Amino acid sequence: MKRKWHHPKAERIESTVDRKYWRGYDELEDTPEFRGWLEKEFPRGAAEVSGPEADETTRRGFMKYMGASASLAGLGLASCRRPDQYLIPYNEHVEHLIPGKALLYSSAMPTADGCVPLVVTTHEGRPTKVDGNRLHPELAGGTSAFVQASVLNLYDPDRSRDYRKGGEKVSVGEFEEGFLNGFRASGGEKAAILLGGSTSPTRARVLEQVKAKFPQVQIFEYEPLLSEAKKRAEKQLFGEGVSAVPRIDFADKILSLDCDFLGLDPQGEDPAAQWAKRRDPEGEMARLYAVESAFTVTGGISDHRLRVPASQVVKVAALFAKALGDLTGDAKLKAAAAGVVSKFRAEVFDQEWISEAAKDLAVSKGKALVVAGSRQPVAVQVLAGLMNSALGSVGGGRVPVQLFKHGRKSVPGIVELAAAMGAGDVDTLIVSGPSDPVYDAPADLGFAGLYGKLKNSVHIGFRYNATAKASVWHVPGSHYLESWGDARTATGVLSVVQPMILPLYGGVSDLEFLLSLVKEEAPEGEVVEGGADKDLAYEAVRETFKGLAKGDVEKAWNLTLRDGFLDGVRYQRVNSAPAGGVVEVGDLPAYPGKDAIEVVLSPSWHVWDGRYVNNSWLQEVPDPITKLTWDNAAVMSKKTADRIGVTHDGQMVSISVGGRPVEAPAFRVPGQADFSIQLALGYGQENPGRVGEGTGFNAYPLMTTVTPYFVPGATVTRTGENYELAPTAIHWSMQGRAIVREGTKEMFDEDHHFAVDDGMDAHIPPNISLYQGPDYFQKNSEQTAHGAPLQRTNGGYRVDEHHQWGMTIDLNTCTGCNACTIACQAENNIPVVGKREVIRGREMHWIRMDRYFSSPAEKEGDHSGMTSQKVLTNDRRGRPAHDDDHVEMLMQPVACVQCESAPCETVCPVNATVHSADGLNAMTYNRCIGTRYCANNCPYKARRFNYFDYNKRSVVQETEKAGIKANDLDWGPLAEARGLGTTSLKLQKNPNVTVRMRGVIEKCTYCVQRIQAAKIDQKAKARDSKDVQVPANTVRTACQDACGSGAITFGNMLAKGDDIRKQKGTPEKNFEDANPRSYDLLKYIGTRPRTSYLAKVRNPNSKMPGAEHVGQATAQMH
Amino acid sequence: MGNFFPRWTNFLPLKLIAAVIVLGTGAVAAITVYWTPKYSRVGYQPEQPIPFDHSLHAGQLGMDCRYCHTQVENSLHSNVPTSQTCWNCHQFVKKDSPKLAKLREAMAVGTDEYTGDPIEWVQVHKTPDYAYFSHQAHVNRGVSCVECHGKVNEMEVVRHEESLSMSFCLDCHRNPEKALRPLDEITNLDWTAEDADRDEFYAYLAGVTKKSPEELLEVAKSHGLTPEGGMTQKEIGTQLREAWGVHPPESCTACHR
Repeated sequence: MKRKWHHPKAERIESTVDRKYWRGYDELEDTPEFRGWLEKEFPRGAAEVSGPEADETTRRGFMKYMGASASLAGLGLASCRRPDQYLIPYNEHVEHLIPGKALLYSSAMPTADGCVPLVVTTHEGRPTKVDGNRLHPELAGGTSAFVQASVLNLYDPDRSRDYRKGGEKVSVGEFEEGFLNGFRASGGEKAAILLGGSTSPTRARVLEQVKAKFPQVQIFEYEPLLSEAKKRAEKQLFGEGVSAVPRIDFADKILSLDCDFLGLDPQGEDPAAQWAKRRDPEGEMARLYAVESAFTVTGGISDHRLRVPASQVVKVAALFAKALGDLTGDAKLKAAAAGVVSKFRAEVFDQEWISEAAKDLAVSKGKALVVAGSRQPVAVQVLAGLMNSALGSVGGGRVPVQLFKHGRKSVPGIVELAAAMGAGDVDTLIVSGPSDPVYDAPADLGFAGLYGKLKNSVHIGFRYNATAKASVWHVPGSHYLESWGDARTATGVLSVVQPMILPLYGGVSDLEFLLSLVKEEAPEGEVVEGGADKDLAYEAVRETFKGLAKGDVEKAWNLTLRDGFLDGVRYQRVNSAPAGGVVEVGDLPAYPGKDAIEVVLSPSWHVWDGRYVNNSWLQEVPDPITKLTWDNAAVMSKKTADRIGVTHDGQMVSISVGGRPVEAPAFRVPGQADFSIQLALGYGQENPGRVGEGTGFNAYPLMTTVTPYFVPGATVTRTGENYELAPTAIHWSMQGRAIVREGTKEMFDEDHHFAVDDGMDAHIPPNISLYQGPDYFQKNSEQTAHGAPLQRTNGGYRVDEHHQWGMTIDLNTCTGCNACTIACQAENNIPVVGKREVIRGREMHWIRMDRYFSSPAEKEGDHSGMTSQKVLTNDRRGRPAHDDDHVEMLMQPVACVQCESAPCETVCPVNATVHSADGLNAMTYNRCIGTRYCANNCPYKARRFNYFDYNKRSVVQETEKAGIKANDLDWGPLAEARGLGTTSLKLQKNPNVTVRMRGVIEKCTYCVQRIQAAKIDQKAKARDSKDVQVPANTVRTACQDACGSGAITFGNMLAKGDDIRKQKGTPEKNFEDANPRSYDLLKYIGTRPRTSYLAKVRNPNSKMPGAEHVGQATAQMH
Repeated sequence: MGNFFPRWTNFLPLKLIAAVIVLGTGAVAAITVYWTPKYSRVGYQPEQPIPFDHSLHAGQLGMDCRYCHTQVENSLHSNVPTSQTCWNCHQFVKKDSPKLAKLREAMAVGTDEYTGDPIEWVQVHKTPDYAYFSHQAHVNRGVSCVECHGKVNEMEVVRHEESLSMSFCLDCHRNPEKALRPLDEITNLDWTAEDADRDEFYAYLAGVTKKSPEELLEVAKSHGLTPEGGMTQKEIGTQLREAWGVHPPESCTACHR
């Protein structure tokens, strides 16, 4: 008899606090839309056949008809011979290359203030995947979503390919003649060069040569999100050319002043890995206090969070400075704080929060760290520096703030450039680097106008963007994987940027362009070594290297290329006390209100400052907080929305500051400071390419030089129009079951296994089923004559006695940064589906990042529940505290968990999904006929269906035929095959993974291609021995490689010494030695997943207001 | 009422049914025979741009397969040799042969014929794109080239010898003893079990397994083998399978990803 599981009535656990968790306002309010989503497994287009006819449609009948139509289709085949295919070998051997095997090289991705050392996977010369360099002395090897997606930019079909003059294509020779020769002959009179930020020693050296050759040329640097404030504060405190590098792992207590150091505002070397090191509840856990306006991933993972409008963070910083000055008695800090605190009313802010947090910081003297967000003004940066100094955290030894002398001089920025242009001191401008100043310069400079008036302008860039279009000359730029370069990380470790491929479209890097300016022409008749093929950038990088390396330069160079970094060379560590001084604050911004709303301009998780606008992976990956895809939005709290009159997400609002109105759709997110609207930069570009076309809204018109990132005094009104956004927050909902679990350090200390029996798992009855399923760890096997197991079998299943794979995901260190999602997309050829399909809930990401909010639930009949808790709020009229003050955020990446008793496998009519001998829930794509039964039966909603040929058909374009305009996907085979998968992007595809077509289910398979490759390599090594077990910790999944905080552990549970055995336990001990926080998702349904999760543990300070709410959200779930 | 239908129409339905059955059976039989890989692939023998003769090189001259297919032990692909490999000899041997025109186009730098275009060999053996066959896994674990490719050393023009269908693969994966042979005989396409010397074989096996030859003979007997007379493939295959711990995967993930 079939046993039916009745969900027992949840027992009400009496608790002082009651919290619930949820993903979106629709869920919290239980709207009809949300109900609708829940009831349908596949939201739109799901099988909805009903009625008598449908009842007669049996599976047998279905197979019969399908069989008949398949054989009819066969009759129409013209030929049954395969067409001739060719094998084209190289003419000459290529060193190191083995056809069919990936080759790995070290390289680095340069960023404005450092670089990410990389290991690049290439297949027959095509770079297909980038990963962090795990050999690096300072970095653990994680990467961000941007780094992961950067490889897609290389193959961007809309990249700039041609030299242009006034928009018309010209040849390289015409550019040389028309511009370069003239410029070379000049002395650089009235010429300027605008570059992006860089730490490249070669670029700095070449710039000196440029200045020597063209004495009058002026150099400027600009990137919209490269803030000057931090550099100025460092200069004021520690002198020119010194940077303060935080060491998160040396800090016991951290105060973040609007600094998303785990997300979009990384500080120091590898903050996520350093943070993760200090969050093991079995060790000494660090504690994080976050002060911020909108939720960031850092705020989400923090132990205590205070929401404050971004422009008011300076006041909070001053209050902290005052409190810490009093606690530590530091005179400089006291003086600095006094100057600011006197200028505003402190009562507005939560005094108790600040004083308790300050006390906690002061206790950990020498081990407390204050980090200030890079968009915060100089005053906050200086106060943070002084607080660190007062706390004894700056200086020598193992302190959380270390000073390094990098020696770079400050370079004037776009303000100075615009002034020079306005004054007529510049009439020739060369723009190179990632910024697009015509589009992204502060609005009050009128840069586009000034730029148009120039006599001569050259843009060197990767994209044919607004600046390129406004320039006289345009030179196609190269991708970092196409040209030589170098860069140094925050502490000064040098990495060489090694090209992986010749420039696809003949682009040049900014380094190459500068070198071409100063190139010495060989005298007539003399032959230069290397001749015309000489790579100028390569020579220059090697030249710089000679100056940095010690000992045998040639050997050091080869080792650097192999390992990806120059060992033993750093910036000089300095140890100086900060200079005191006055903190210049000017007029402090008034507290925002309904009529003077603050707009916070933030980097975008999709496009950063606009440079990734044509990157489809980044466009489609849901923003970790808002879960929006393909757009930005005016993100605001519910209270703000109510005051403006916004009742639904997507209602357009007009944001007007000083007569510069910007329109954007409203989107409500909990935990946001009231009357503070966050708007991500980089969207709304004109003709950015086919992916970025028509996405988002431009926020740059709000940015000015006076108020670069926080724009006060905006009036916001509804326009009455609506805009369709594509958030994924409530897709693939787990319907409130206890799949995400958290607790506090206190709960953990009391009972290490606190999370194991949460919710329904406490009510699991004994398993009385006769069928136990195959047990991969059970010891009964066919015996051979010599007593060794010939084949371990169980219930007819063959079991691999050497490999049983498993995975754990540590919710404690997962920040939700999406790097794994994109890494998975790159590794497994996952298509993007376009905004329209996302709206229909058809996104294909194998790893979905579930983001939960938890907030104190109002107990029925007691609406004053919150008021008793002495919580001050942003509401100055003494109203009951708003829920938004105590919202917490939890992140949980969910992919297929590889159940041992997988519900999907039993329902597949064609055995396309079956269990493999090593414990994977395998997918055979070529066998799948697309019934979607498996997806219907998957309790974790981990399976994705290809509704259309996403690789072949364009997901972002429309076709008009016979007067009907429709999306290419709808036209199907009638539309031209011009999908993103048919362009140069197909060069990125991983050759070891099938590219799926329409009508096929796909899902995570633990990167089975990597597993198989490792197994085969081991067999080739074993030759005629039995030594076929892959050594411990050999196979790493793509998500594991990408994870910056090392939250993902994967391995072979049968290999001695494998990391996974520490987390999941060992079969020898019946898994009782597992990590105590380890729990299975939906354990009570008996699927026995191979992926388990480690519960989140927060480390609240019990003296803080609201501490009783922290980490309680999931304790009473069912 | 007259008779609308003549008398012969009485049997028409029966005749029609019979005709449909005959035709249908014929169609099904034809499809089964002619459209299976066994028919459509076996015997495929395309003309190559250079009429390279395996029977001459690998047969008469006795060159090892790996002289040209260099990476067969290291990669899932068994690579086609680079033009340079041919040129090693053929820049001296038969260098003016009209048959080698394409090679000279690729390699004879400095001559009129040289274009630098690589040679476009026609692919004979191919597994579908969704099947990830690995040469590396097979040739390193006792499966000879001959098992899938036939006696290439006797072929003037390479032809497709086996169907390489999924059932062909599974057949061997389920009974690997049919194919296993000592590792030093992998590229010896003429090797048969009868050639093997029993004492030598058991001495080798004893070395690998750290067991005495007597124990190993017991193993053979327990598998129903009678280790007398000449050696058989079954004896060698079964012993090697046990000694090396060969468990060919039968999971879908072995080939499909």
